[in-house]
Amino acid sequence: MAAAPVSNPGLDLSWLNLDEWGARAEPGKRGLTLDDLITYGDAPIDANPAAKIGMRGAAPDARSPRHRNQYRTKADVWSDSARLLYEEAMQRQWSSAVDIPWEEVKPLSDDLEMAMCTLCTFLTQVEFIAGDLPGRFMGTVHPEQFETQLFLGSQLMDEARHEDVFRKRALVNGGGLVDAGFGSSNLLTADDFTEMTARLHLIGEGFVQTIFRMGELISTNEAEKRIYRLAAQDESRHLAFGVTHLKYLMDVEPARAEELHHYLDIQEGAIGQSNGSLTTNPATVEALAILAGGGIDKIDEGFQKLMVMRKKQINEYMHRLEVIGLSDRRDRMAPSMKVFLEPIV
Amino acid sequence: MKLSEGTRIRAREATWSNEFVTKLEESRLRDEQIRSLLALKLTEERANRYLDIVSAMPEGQTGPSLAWARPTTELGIRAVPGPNGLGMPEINIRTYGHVPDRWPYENDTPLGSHPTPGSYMPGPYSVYNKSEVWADGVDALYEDAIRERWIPATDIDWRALESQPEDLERAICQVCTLFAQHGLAEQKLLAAWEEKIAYGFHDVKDYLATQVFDAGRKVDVLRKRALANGGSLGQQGLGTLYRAWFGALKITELMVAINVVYKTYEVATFEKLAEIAPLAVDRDIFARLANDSRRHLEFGTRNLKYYVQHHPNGREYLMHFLNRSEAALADELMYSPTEGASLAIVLGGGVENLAAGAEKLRNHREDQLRKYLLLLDSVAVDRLPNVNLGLLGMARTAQPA
Repeated sequence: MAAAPVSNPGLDLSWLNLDEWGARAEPGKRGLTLDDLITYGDAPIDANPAAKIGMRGAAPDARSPRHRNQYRTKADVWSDSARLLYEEAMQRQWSSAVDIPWEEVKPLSDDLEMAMCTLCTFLTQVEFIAGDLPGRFMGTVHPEQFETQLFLGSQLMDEARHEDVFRKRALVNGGGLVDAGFGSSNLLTADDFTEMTARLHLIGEGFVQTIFRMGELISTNEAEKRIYRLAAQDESRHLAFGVTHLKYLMDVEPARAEELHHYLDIQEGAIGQSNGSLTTNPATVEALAILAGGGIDKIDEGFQKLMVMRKKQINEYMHRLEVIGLSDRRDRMAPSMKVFLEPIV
Repeated sequence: MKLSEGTRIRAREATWSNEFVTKLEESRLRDEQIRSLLALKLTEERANRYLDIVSAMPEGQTGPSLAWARPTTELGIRAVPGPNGLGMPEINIRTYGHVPDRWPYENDTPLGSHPTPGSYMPGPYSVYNKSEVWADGVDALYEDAIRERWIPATDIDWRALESQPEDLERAICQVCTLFAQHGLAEQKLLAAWEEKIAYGFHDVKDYLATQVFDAGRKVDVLRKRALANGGSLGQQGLGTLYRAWFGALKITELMVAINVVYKTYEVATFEKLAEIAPLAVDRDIFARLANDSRRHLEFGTRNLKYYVQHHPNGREYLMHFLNRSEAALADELMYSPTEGASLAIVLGGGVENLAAGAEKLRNHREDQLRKYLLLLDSVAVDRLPNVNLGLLGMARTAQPA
């Protein structure tokens, strides 16, 4: 059944007489970036009272239907770096098909290849979670803060590429995927934007980024090094978004500090008590140790290097908390993580 | 511990000596750990070194489980790069390329893998039927999207923008405002559905991520364009179009609404603007956007084709999906007439040629509708008898007029 015809409402050229006029954003050294548009309207502290979909700065249409679940307060979703990080994401997209020197992947002993495939299986699992979760919250961003939405959209792209590059690595050198363990679906329990940011961006992405940045330790060839280097670059953006969002929140709504601590309690507990993370999941820990040691018969050396990684993860995490304004986390951190903290000099 | 007969046979095949087998039996390693060492094809020398490491561990510890070394998955895969590198089509081989009609796992188990017993916790997925989301060649579309990426900040020659009459500038700005807004909604909706798609359809999830990214780029470039040449953002679009998007009850309905009904109209408009916009920079922008949107439409078409051919109720459901989607689009075009009016000004070459512009707009609407109906014809859906009368009316009479 087709819809009934609607009478033609006729020609309306009133939009030709809108008052706003004369915007001339000028490109800078990095081209015409979102920052260059700010002269013509920054994100307001409070979004429009109506949760509608329209471009910030457009003349509103009073008839426009409303949408549920949009945050109205800038602090809920904002990062002062969202524009910059989005533009960086645009500049630094890469292709796993052609930017990885796949020809550098050479046959490995079975222990090294299977360890790599185990790690890749896990990463293939978790990278999608890291895309699905921001995807859930993109709809909650009010169009007045659309830059955050654009950044999260770039993260979805990055995470898809990570899913694909680790899958490719697992399938290119005589191995395959292994059986799937716990991924990080626990993160999908996040029910608030800031909770998502604290648990995914700050902790999850932060910990993975440390591993990727130490990719030299677990790589067996130039292709893998390149994968980790490029993926780490992407993760750094996601992490930076998390840190700067939480910092903004602490700057403008310091009363939410305890709420933030609670999210961290949840995630630190999850990391310490479940198999849901890269360096605590038994399969990936063993795989990482074999890769870091250079073979199963040097797994003891690998475990020692893994401890260095773990310590680095925790201390970098603490440093980020200090940047955010949560230095008191040092005393409240989950015991399983706190033991790795270096003393304050 | 005495090794099982099977492990003993495998040890013999691996040419491990009897002395070493005896040493293993006297060690703290369990039979399944030794089977893992054998699965990893370790020489006796390396296995012995590993045994020494485990033996040096504190009392009571049996060392790594190594259970991952004996997966139930297919191994021995050696994907080979093709002419465009190592793309997703190149790795969709053997069991890793076989996408079942119904995905069996409720967690984040990837295609080709299986859940480990004891580590299987269900996730939030709800789309398990391939026919709802699949599109043949979606893996290649994903790689196309990455290969064809572009950057609004630096790939557009912003400094080449030239002044043009105010009515034309305002019309272009109005078009930019509307389609940027559509991009915002498109991005929100596609992103929201990602987490519902089961992991086994990762090619679709990956592809949709590219479309989310493209939609963001559309918002980005059109906002920049509106604010870069002496104009500004225009009137907000009504947004009743999105009722069909937010109201989609099934992912296929969303795909039909965005990637078939809406995209046919969007592609035609972008292609038209790429042809007739007065400024070269604008023609470049809309040509790039048209290229992206053609990919989205291609995905939508292939998805629809798969759906009507494989979903048991596909044809019947589709009629309802199309009814709702077409009605929303028709309402948007009729009750939010800024798009038609601004296009009419651009098509006519200025507000003084509005009558001619309105006639060209009618031609454009007819072209949009024709392309839409032909697309549906191509997937064996004869829509002409039931197409929305509002869309049909706009193709018959100049609108707005």
